[in-house]
Amino acid sequence: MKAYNDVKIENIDVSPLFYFGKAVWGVIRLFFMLEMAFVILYPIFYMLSMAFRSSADIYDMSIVWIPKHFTVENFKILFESLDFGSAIKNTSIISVVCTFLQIAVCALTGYGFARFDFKGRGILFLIVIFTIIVPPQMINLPNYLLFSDFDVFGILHTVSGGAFHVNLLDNFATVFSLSALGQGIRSGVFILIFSQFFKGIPKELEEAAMIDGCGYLKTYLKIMLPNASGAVLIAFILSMVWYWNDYYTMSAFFTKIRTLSVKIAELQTSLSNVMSNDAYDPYKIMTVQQAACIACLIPMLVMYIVLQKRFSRSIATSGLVG
Amino acid sequence: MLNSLKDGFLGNYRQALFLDSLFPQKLLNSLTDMLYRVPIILVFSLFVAIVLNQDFKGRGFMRAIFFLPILISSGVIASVIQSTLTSTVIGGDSSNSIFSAVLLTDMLNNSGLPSNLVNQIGSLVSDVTDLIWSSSVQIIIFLMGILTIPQSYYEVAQVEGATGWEAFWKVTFPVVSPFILVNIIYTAIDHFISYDNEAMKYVLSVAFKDTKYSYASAMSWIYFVVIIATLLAVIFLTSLFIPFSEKKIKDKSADKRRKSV
Repeated sequence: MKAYNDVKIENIDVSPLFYFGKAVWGVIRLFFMLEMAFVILYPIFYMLSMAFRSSADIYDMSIVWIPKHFTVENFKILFESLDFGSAIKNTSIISVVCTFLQIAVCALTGYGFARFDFKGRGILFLIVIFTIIVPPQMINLPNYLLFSDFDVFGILHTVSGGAFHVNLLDNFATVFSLSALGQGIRSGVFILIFSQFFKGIPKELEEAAMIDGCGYLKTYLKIMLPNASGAVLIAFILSMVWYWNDYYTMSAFFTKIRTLSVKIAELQTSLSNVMSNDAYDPYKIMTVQQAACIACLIPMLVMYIVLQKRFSRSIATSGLVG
Repeated sequence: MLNSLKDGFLGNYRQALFLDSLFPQKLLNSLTDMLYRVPIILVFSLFVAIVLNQDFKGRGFMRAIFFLPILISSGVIASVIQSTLTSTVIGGDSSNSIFSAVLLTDMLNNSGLPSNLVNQIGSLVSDVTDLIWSSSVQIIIFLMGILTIPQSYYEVAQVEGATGWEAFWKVTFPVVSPFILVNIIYTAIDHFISYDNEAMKYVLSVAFKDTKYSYASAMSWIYFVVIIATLLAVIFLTSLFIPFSEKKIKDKSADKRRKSV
């Protein structure tokens, strides 16, 4: 994708001032980007520097950034103490399924808010915004009670006479059902993004599809969703990251199913099983913690870098339509 | 029993609003904080999104870097980093931002600069870092909005003789404007529910330091109502200036059609 300034200008006299301005802007941009990169990468460098330090380097005051004894010992301890395979498996099941459910539900809801005029739309939209304001810490307790004895409107209890209880805790169904009902992590934000995105797509497209004989659902699936690929991509990335990193909800609902983030949060206790005396050394624990952060961060970064190429590709298709 | 009920009836609310010397002030402070934070974050993130959309070497790399704050500032990694950074930096002030400027200010202090100047620089740097860390989601949303603009629009604008500035206001801005609403709402809520917020800190300290739970929950109800009122006001005000809803656009095109007929 070419930016505005880089479109080739032919047969038009351009003053040298234009090129001068472009060069100056290039230099300013370079410095701006360098500064931003430094500020953002500072904690990452810190993490890397800590994660590869051996225990001899921790108390060495002469080491600021680059460790003298480069070691992967911290990662070894990490993989020993955490059941890494199952943690990664659980985390990816939860984040991928929840993300797909969340996108399906939020896109449909957003479409409804963007295109259909019905009674009480404004109030419902405000309620969607309220769901962003209310933090998860607030809703988790009622949700926990709901899932510990799951029952829709008390139907199950009346039918079975109170003898039958369904305990959904420690089951993937808890998070799946929450995200399928638009109660996942920050679902309100995604509904907002989708509805604003659908509002930007010209109505004529839909009308054309309707004239060609598409129903509402078919129009939505064939015309609107492919055009909203940018919004879908954003929702996918953000939702994946937020589910991957979340430990509050996950630790509330699951005791046997351990996700990566929960394991990192309680790393200290699981470390004491592996390291006998070192487990009481706060600095040693810190280095392992930083290694854990890196291990948690890398899959998401890879996902973003892979998906990023789609960023520019999605323009080409939507560009043809607009 | 009846007497205590009578005292208790809205007593906490009355105390919070009229008798408490700190709470109204803190509430006002967090509101005014929002008033300057939201525009700055919006302008900054729109600017960064536009820059990231331009063609330059290492653009993919920079886009990946601007994605990192989302990864780091959410969930478990943020809590780990926060705990380690605050415990390692010796004599660190209790700043809540992930990157504190303590190392830099120490360095400048040691090099013999006057302390006033060093403090100024330190607060500036931590403001900038705070800005970057809290505007990462907004940047990516704006970037998505800008990427949906077909290149042909810009070519048309250029053929018509528009400068870059005009092309921004006539082409980029109208397409991006729906996402301004999203970002305003997101930023405002993000500010209101973060623990750095003054009102939030006060409510938390009353609840967990003084263990006055009922008084704290009364205050948080007031805070909730204030948040909703400000959000409604902000949405209403912005919808006056920026055409978010398709109604206004539709009306304009309908007017044009009528005129042409």
